[in-house]
Amino acid sequence: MGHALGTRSRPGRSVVTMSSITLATNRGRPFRTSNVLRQYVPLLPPSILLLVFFAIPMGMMVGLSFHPEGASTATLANYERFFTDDFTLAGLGRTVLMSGLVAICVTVMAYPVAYFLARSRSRWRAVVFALAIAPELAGVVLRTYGWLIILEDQGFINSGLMWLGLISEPLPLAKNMFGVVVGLTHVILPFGILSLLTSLQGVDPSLEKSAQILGASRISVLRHIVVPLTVPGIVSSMLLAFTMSASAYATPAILGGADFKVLATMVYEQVLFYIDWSFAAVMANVLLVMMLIIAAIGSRLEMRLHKKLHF
Amino acid sequence: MNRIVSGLFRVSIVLVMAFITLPLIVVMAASLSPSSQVTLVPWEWTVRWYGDLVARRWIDPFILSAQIAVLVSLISGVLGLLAAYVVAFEKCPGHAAIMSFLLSPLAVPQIVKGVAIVLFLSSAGLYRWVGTPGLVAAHIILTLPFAVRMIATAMFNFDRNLDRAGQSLGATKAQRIRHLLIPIIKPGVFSGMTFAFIISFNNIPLSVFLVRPGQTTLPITVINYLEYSLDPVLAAVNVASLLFVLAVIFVFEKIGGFSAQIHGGSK
Amino acid sequence: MSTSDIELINLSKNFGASQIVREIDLVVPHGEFVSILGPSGCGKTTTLNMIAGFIAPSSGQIRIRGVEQSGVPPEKRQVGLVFQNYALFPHMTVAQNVGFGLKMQGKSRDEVDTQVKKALQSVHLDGLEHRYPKALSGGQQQRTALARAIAPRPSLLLLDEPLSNLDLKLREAMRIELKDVQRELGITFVYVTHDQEEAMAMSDRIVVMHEGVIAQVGSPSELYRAPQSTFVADFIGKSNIFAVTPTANGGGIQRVRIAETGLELLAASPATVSSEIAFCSIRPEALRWIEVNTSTEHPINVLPVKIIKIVNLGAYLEVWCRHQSNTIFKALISAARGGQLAIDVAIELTVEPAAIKLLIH
Repeated sequence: MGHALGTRSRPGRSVVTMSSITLATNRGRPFRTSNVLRQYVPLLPPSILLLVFFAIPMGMMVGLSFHPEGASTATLANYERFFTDDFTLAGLGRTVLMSGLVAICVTVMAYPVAYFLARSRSRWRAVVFALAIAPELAGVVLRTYGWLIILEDQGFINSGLMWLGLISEPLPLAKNMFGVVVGLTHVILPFGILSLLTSLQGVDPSLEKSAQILGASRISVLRHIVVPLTVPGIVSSMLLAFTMSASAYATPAILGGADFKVLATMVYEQVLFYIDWSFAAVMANVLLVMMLIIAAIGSRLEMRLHKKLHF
Repeated sequence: MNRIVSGLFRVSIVLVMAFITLPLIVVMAASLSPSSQVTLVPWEWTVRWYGDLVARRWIDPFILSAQIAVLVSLISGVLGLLAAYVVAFEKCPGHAAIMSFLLSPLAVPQIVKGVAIVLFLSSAGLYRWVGTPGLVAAHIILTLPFAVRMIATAMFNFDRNLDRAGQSLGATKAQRIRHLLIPIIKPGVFSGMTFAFIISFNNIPLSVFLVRPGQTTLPITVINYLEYSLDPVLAAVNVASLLFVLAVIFVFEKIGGFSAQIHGGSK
Repeated sequence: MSTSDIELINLSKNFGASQIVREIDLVVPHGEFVSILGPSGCGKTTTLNMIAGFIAPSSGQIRIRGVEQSGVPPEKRQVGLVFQNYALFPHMTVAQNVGFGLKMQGKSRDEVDTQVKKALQSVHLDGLEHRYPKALSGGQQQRTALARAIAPRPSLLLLDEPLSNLDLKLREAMRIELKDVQRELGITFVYVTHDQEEAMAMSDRIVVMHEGVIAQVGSPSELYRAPQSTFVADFIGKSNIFAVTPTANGGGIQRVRIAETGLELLAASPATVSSEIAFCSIRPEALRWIEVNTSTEHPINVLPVKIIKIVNLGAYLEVWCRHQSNTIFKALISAARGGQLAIDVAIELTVEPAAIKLLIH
């Protein structure tokens, strides 16, 4: 045991030997003042990037929305224009309607899949999970293009139905609200499934078992146990789908056709065709404020529902 | 009664799965069909559209998109690592506020971010940045929050006792970061980078504002074509780029995923 | 060379307003196996973390091998540490785990290899060098953690409840092995545990902590035979503890009355001032069952009782008895003798005056 001590002992260190910038705190642990700041240094590159390419541009954009071309002082003129113009108001209304429909479709379709994924132990579970998530890798263009092939006038469905003689005129499936809602539902469905899955996994399966033992049928178990307990998940899935749809650009642009204008596509046109930056900024801000309001409502609602359900 | 319900339940899942897979199958079939009329009959299929992909009008956008995605993925990984280290590992004072700042771009729709950046570049006299530099910067703004969040999660899950064990065995801070922290959070870093790559490679809403004429990314090239043609070559482009993304994920997983060592058997 | 490995001098730790550790003094000589024993929240783990350097003391000093440690980071203290959850590096093999400390010291590859081999041999893990932690059983993980901590040859090893994640059988086997390793290496072990059996089985000395202070320090048998407080009497082994008031003293005998029931017992006179006596403690095995009263001498402290409950402990029965004064005693009676005992049977118990420990707190 002597050698162990001998080989390992080193001269002791004490506070006195530390450099002059050392401060001995009342806790007896010395620290260097510069260390406090030094620990923030790695944050500089990401923060500068976010500042230059996000925070400053956002600030400028908000500022610009109050300064229509030629105006020297801040004015609400452009906002007034936005909320009095029938064209922009129709676009806003269309955005809300489209997003609402998508929110409902996504949640209704995602719920059974999420329930299956949360409860099943069959070997199909992995298959369903992979199929549900895989389209996310494909990107929006491929999927939208696929729907275009399926839905357009000479497309899969219409030519099939005409060949069967069921219809003589092609059904208007693409280049309208229907096509956009189908396309967006497809794009957002995986997110809806994941969001509801988290919520359903939070419901203890023994609750369902005890309800069954008490004589509840499958339907009543769903109606009285599972659905009420996953209301927060349903709400957050709907809000997620709503915000994702309202800010989607590519799907409405491709599947909606030339006349289908929502806020996102209108913003793009203002910037690149009309080159009215101030009005583009107004539209972008309206979209942003809508998102923020929904996010705020969503988080408050979720908190309240959560409190109610989890004591 | 319960039987009917289970039956309906199963049917609804099959229908949703069909809905999810249908467009993918259709695009696949379209890329192999001899004409713009899509056929599902395999013996009529041809790969001639894939031959057309070597044309410069497809190769150039592909190379640009891939270059941007690689840069975005690498930079997001490095910056995400730096930020997550301070916020999630060191947990410096104010880390919660800093984290919300780093994640704040998530609250803003892409199209709004795109407008803001293009307006900023124009007003600040940096219009020459529109093109590759602007695309890279804008994509990083989009991907960095995801990278930070994934890497931060990996760091939160890192067992502090491992660091303490390293300390009690005489490892300095630099040694502990190199030998313990980095190898253990590597899967988190790589999944963040993979995510950044996919988002960047497929991006439309930001790129649409920042591409230069004659120098566009692959998705933008495709949607520009889509407006006036349903040429089957577009299907081939889409399938090829999906295969490319899958290959990249496979490579990232090979480099970054060492889950088998930790969770698996005796090597 | 100092012979004490650790000296804690007036050591305290506050977290905010709560005092976790209060003015502890302790000297641990080199080569001793000392356990810090106490219920959760008693400050034992905080004390260990202060010795290891992960927590800075609020006041007081820690000296390791005679050197004051304030401001010395954990990596410079040369103190081995075994964690409760082992904290094995999941991305390294057993050999890499065990060699980590040596590698960090910049030892040559050959030296690392020999030391790793030695450390693995001393914990009987040879042959598993290339396994990853996830492929090891709980006991093997535990041994790896031990090997990793001893490989850099620290003169002092801290162990934080290292056996609590193992099942009972393995835990009992590991107690013996840990003690063997400690004796073989001749190094100091500071062992934190809440399991009194574990502490009794291995330690040269036990430090009982309670609410941040040291309740008593002593060898296992000292603590068992002569607890200095009701807390120690209750925490180490089982005890019948009663609040008492002293009544009379004379002839080496102290009379006490059990406060609640009024029953009087005769105890051997303590060294302390008799008026301060407030409690008495009687070990269950000190209560003897007088099967047949054969002796002619009249024993003192004869307690006619009725059995109200019998708990079978295998070799022994724990027999709960009620005295007519309503005092309840738990006696330990060998199962071989107590075969005919049953609930509601009346028996007589007796206890030697010397076996009644009189306590002040």
